[in-house]
Amino acid sequence: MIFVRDIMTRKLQTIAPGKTINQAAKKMTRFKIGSLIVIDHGKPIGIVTEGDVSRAVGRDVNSRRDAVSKIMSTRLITTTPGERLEDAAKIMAESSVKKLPVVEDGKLVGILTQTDIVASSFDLVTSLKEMVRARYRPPDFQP
Amino acid sequence: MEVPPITVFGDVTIDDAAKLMWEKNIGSVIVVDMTGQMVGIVTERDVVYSVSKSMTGREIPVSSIMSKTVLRSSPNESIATAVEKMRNAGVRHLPVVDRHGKPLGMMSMRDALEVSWPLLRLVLKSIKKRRAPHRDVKIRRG
Repeated sequence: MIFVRDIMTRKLQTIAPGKTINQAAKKMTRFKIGSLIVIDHGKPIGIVTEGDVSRAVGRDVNSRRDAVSKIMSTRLITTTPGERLEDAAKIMAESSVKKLPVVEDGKLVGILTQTDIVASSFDLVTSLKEMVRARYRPPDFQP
Repeated sequence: MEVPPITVFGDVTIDDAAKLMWEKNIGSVIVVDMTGQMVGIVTERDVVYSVSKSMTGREIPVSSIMSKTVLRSSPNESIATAVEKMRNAGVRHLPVVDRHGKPLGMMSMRDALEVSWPLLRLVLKSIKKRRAPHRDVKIRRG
């Protein structure tokens, strides 16, 4: 059994809702990450992704003046460290989000990304293939 | 993968490229020259970079923020190889080109998730099956 905690990313950055879109973009670029969790008074209230920032540019939003709260997604679909990976993957595929913040006892502990899931499933297939190859050698060929 | 791929010329502005990505609901566009050959790729991440450097709203062309050394894939490559390439490079989009460098499509991590999630379910199911009731069955060789 594989759980969310086994493959989630613990590197997590947050931002206050009143910061500008430009400040959010700077933070994403500096930390080389694709999303920031928006925290208000210690509580996660939304998520802002590189897609949100890019769409803001397409919509002529003023990135140096407008706040993150204007473009963030408040539909925060979360998961827990103890959730089975396949269930988290299902949620992600069905809700078409790229990131699931991981919450434990009301506290943010990490983030599960699309890349984490895709990479781990192909890793799993590769190791399973190797396992099968090592355990079941083909029978000797006898004419 | 996204077929046909969405392409732009290098002189399109960053703002227009971002708008196009928004309208088409995609995370990247391929930049082509006049002959249709791929010369670069622009992703949402590049647009974020341009926002952080205040390059938007100033008629700056995408050619100034695009990645020129573009990682690519061929149509006959396996999905696993394509995923490995994206993972190693830390990117989420991989242009698929023919042998002349003409873009045929765009493969994304989103596409890979659609394959990998049912695959994951299948693998985990097969592991469970293998472990549970047949533990004592001997495999007859030859």
